[in-house]
Amino acid sequence: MIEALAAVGIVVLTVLWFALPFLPAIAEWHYKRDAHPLRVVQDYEREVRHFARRFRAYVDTHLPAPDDAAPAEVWLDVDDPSAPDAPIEPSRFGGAPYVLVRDEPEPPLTDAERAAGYTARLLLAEADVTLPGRMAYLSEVYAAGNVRGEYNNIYRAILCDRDAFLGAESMVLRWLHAGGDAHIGASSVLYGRLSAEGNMVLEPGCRFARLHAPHLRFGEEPEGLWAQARNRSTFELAGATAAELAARRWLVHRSLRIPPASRFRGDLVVYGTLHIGEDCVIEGSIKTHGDLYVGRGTHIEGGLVSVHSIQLEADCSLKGPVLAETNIWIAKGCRMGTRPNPTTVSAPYITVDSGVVAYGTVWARERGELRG
Amino acid sequence: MSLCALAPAVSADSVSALDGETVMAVSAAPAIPPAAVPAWIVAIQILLYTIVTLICIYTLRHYWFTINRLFGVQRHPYIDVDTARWPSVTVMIPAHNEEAVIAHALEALMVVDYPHEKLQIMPVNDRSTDRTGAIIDDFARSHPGIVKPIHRESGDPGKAAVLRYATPFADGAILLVFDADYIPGRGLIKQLVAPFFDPEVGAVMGRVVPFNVERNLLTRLLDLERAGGYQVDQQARMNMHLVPQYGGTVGGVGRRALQSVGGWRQDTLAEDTDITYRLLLGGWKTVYQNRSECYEEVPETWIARVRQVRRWATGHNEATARYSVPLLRNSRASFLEKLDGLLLLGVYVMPALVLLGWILAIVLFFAGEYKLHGIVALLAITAYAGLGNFAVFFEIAAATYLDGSRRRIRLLPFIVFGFVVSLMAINRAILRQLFVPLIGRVRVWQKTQRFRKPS
Repeated sequence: MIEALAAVGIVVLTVLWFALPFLPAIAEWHYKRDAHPLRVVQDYEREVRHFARRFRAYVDTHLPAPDDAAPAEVWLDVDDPSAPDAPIEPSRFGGAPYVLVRDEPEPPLTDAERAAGYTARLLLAEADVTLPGRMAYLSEVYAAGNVRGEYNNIYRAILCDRDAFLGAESMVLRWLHAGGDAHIGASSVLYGRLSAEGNMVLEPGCRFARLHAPHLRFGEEPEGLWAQARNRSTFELAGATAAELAARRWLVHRSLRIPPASRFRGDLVVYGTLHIGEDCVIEGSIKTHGDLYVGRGTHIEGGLVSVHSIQLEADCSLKGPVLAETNIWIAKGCRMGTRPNPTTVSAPYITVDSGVVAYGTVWARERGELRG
Repeated sequence: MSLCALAPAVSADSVSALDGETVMAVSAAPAIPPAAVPAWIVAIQILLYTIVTLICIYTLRHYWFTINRLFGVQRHPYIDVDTARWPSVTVMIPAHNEEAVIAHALEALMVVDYPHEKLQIMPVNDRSTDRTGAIIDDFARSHPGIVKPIHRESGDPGKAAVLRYATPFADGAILLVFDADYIPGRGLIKQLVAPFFDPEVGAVMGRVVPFNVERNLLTRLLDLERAGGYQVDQQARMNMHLVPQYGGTVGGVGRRALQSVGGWRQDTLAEDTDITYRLLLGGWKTVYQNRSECYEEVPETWIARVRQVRRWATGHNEATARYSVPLLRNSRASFLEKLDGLLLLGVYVMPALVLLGWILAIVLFFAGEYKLHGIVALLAITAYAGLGNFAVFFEIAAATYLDGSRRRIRLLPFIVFGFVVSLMAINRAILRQLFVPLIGRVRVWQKTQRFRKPS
C-alpha cells in the first residue's frame, strides 16, 4: 500500500514539476498582459530633425500669441525659496515651467538661477536671444530669430528659426536645429543630433556625434582642390571573369595597390587591404574587408565601404557614402558629396582635420573629433 | 572499434559485508570473448551517432548565435545612411486575391520618405479573382506616375513566377519586394536601399514583426518564433559575416546582382532561399537590417500554419539539393560562410533526422543494445534545440529580452507544441517530396491564407 502511494506520489510530483512552467504560461495566455505587437518605428525617429520637429509642434501648440498680454516671466519654480511670491500660471505651456522672452536681448533669469549657474525652465524667445555664458540650460531653448550662446554654456536642446551661434567650449546634450546657419565655437562638445537648413561650421577642437547640413565645414575654409594635371593610366585587373565584366564589378581575394595617377572604371570588392595611390580617379564604388587607404587628391565617383577603417589623405573628393565599421580619418582639403548630391559619412569613430567640407550627414556613432 | 570493445575489462561481481563495513571485492573478469555484434546494429549505431552529432552541431550553432547576439559586437553598418544620391527603386508587391490587405500596403507606401522621382510602386495582380485588380487600378489612377500596376492573367502560380514575370517591367536599379499584407514605415525604403551603396551587397533583408499577435495562442507563439529567428539568428549571422537569409519580403535585390546570377528562378517554392544561395555563389552578399522593421500578418489557424511550413520546407529542401555541393566547391565563399550556408540549407532536413534518430534509438533498445543511454540522453537534450530554422527556446528568450517586451516570455513552455506541429508538417513535406515524383502528382502552390478583413 505504502509503495503504491509512494509511486503515485512520485508520478504526481513529477507531473506537477513539469507542469509548473505552464502556470505562468497559462496565466499570460489568459490575461494577455503582453499581447500587443512589438513596436515598429513608423514615424521615422532616426530622421535627424525628428526631435526638432516634435518640439516645433509642441511650441506651435502652446506658444502664446504675440498679442497675448502674458508677462515676460510667468512661471517660477514654486519650490524655489528665493521666489516665494512669484506668479504661478500652471499649464500655460503644457504645464512646463518656462521663460518667455519678448523684447529683451537676454532671458530674464532669476538671481537664484544665475547664482546656481543653471535654469531648468524652457526658454521661449519671440525674436533673437542671447544666452549668458557659463550657464546650463537644462530645458529646451526656442527662438523665432537667432540664438547666440556665450562662452562655456551647456544646452539640453536648441531650436531656432534663423541662425545659431554657440560660443567656445559649449556643450549640447541632445540636439540642435537651426532654420538658418549654425556656427559652433571651438572646443565644443556636441552630443546627439545637430542639424541646420543652411551652412554649419565647426571650429577646431570640437567633438561631435551626428551632424547634418547642406554644407558642413570643419574648421578653416578649404583651399582649392589639389590635383596634378597629368594623364592617368587605366588600371585593369587581370583574369576578370565574364560575370565580373558583365556586372562591372571585380572581386579581388587579396590585398591590392592601385598605382598613383590611375583611372579605374567599375566597382571593386577587395578582401584584403586596399591602397589607392595619389591623384587617382575611381569611377565606381569600393568595398574592402581590410583597411582602405586613399591617396592624396584622389577622386571617387561612388561610395567607399570598409569592414575596418578608411583613411582619406588630403584633397580627396568623394560623391558617394563613406562607411567604415571602425574608424575614418579625413585629412585637410577633402570634400564629401556635393551640394546637389549630398552624402553620408558614418563610422563609430571619425577624425577630421580642419579644412574639410561635407555636404549632407557626418555621423560618428561613438565619437567624432575635429582636430585643431 | 566495436562499441562492445568499450565494455569494462573488470567487473564488480561480489559484494560482502564484514564487521559492519561494506567491502566491494573486485576480481579480474574471466576472459569471455565479446559476442559478435550484427553488422546491421553497427550500421544503425553509426547512423545514430552521426545524427546526434549533427543535432549537437545545430545546438551549438544556436548557442553561438545567442551568445553573439547577447554579448558580441553588433553590426549595423548601413543604418546611418540617411543622406545620399538615392538610386531608383521599384517596390514590387505580388498580390493574389489580396483585396483584404493590398490597400493598406499601398497607402503606407505612398507616404514613405524616399524621393518620389526615384520611386516606383509596382503592385502585381497575379490572376486574382477578387477585387485586387480593381483596387490596384484605383490606386494607379489616383497616383499617376508612381504606381505602375501589372496584371498577370495566366501562368504558373507562386511568388517566384510572379517576380520573374514582373521584373522586366520594373525600372528601378533596386527591386524591393513586399508581401501584400505588409505595412512599411516611413523610413523603411531608405533603410533597405542603403546597403546597396556597398558594391558587395546583392540582397537585403529587413525584420518582420507580426501585428496580429493578440488573436490567439498560435499568433503569440509565431510572434515569439519570429522574434528569435530575426532578432537573434539573422542578426548574429550579420554580426559574424555569415549568411543572413533573404526572406522574400521586406527586402530586395539589386537588379545588377539579380541579372548576374540569371534572374528569378520560376521552378522553386522558395525563391528567397534560392536567390540567397545563387547570390552567395556569385560573390554577392545578403545583408540583414534588424532595425528595418515591418509589420506582417501571421497565420491565425493551425491549418494555415501547417501549409505555410510545408511550402517553406519543400522549397528550402529543393535549394538544399541544388546548392549544397556547389557551395562546397565555391571559391568565393569563406569557410565560415560555407559552414553556415550548409547548416542553413539543412534546417528543414533536421526534423526528419531528429525523428529518425528516435526511431533508431528505439530499434537499438529492443535489439538489446542497452549501452546507448548516454547518446539517447544527448538526443533528448539537443533535439529540442536542433530544430534548425525554428528558433529554439533560449533564442526566443534572448530575443524577448532584447526586444524589451518580457512578459510574453512566460508563453515559452507552449513553444514545444509549435515545434511538434512544425516537426510533423516538415516531415510530411519531406515524405511528399520524396514520393510524389514517384507517383507523378503535380505540385500545388498554396498561398498563405489572409485573416484581415477588407477596409
